Amino acid sequence: MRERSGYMCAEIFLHIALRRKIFAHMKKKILLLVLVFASWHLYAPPNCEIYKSNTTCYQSCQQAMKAIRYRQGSHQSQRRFEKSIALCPDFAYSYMEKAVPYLKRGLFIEWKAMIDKAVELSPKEYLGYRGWCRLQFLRDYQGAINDIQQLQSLVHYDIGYGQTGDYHLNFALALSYKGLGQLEQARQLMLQHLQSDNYTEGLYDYYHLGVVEYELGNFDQALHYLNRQVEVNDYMSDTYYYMALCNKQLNQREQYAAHLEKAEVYYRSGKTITDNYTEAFDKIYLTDILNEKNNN
Amino acid sequence: MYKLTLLTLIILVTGCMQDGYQNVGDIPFDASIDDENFKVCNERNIKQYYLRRSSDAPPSYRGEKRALEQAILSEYSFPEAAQENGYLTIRFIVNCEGAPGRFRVEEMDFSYQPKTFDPQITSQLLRLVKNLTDWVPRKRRNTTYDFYQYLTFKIQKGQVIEILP
Repeated sequence: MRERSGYMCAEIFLHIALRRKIFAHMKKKILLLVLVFASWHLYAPPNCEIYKSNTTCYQSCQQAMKAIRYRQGSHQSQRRFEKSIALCPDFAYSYMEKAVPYLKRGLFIEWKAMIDKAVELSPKEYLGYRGWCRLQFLRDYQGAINDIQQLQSLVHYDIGYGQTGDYHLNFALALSYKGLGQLEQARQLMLQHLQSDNYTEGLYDYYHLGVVEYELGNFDQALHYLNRQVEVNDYMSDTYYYMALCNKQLNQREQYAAHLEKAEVYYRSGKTITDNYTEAFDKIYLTDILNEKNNN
Repeated sequence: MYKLTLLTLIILVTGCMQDGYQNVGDIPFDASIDDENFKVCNERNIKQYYLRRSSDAPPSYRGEKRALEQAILSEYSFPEAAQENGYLTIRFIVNCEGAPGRFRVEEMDFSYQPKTFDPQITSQLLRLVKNLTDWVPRKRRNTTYDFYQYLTFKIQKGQVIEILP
């Protein structure tokens, strides 16, 4: 996918450059990064050599390779994708790549028409991607559920990660149910994913599970998972904020004050859940922390 | 040397002007709808909000998302209306002084098909976005830059239920 130069690369870069402090302390996260790189082939440009038996599709692929040398969304790049599609109208990759800048720039009608074509031509390859984008950019929870579940029904292998590499698509499915307010379903799916074979801890998995438990009113269980999150990734103000809320519900006044204070200190030093393109899921802002402090 | 430089410049300029084809999401000035008093600092270097070097201070809104939500949601008012569902996106430029301008609207339903919201919804949200004046432009080495931003309003029964991205 074109994300190799934009979206995916930026995310990977941010993981490395902006979070290097946590990686120094987090061997498991380094492993996750390696896995993301290992799955690079899922997002990499296609190998044009496999189209050699079909001259026009081979040329189409070559046009797409030319297109990705230009800045994403530039007219030079888009025109080459158009040439690529004209040469081989069944070449799904070019529809998907041509669509990406529309998604990132808020032109969703145009994006959807193009990504639908890519999914129609190559559902196993692009259903998960479309579902993730619907969740991340539009909070289209039902649309994301439909796409991810359709992918699950089509394949018998690991459906992989969302485009940012931060969430497995099984976990994205759970986040979608959470978005619809179906917290118990979200909780079950999160636990199911955590207990699955070959589970690799996501950067934020325990945090979101902790938040779901909090919202379900299971404060002890929420604290359990939020503490696990701190073990996995002690780099988030957001975790301490929810720990404080749990402490408040459990009448643990000292821990409440300490965790809220830590949430503020972390936030002010830039340690918070972030996403370069959209608001992160279950994101907490400084205002939330200060309001909590002022109201208690 | 002079001729070579001139030729290179001509090729570059004509190349940039070919067929009037723009980059995805560009918002050129349109005298029929845009405020002529709104000025960008560098028409040729307006970056998307998500593009920056790691050393740049990212564009933002003072008070972050909560302040932006407060500014919109405390003012927005529309009666519950079963047919008013979908996404309304307003794309615009924030100039290097933090002022917004050149607003463009895209409306779609939950199936991602074009639709037209009640004009009261559209005009109200457009007015509220135009009134957002606390933008902080992208900054590099003490210099601020223009950037493209968009806000998408997820609307259900006429009510704004989420502000994206």
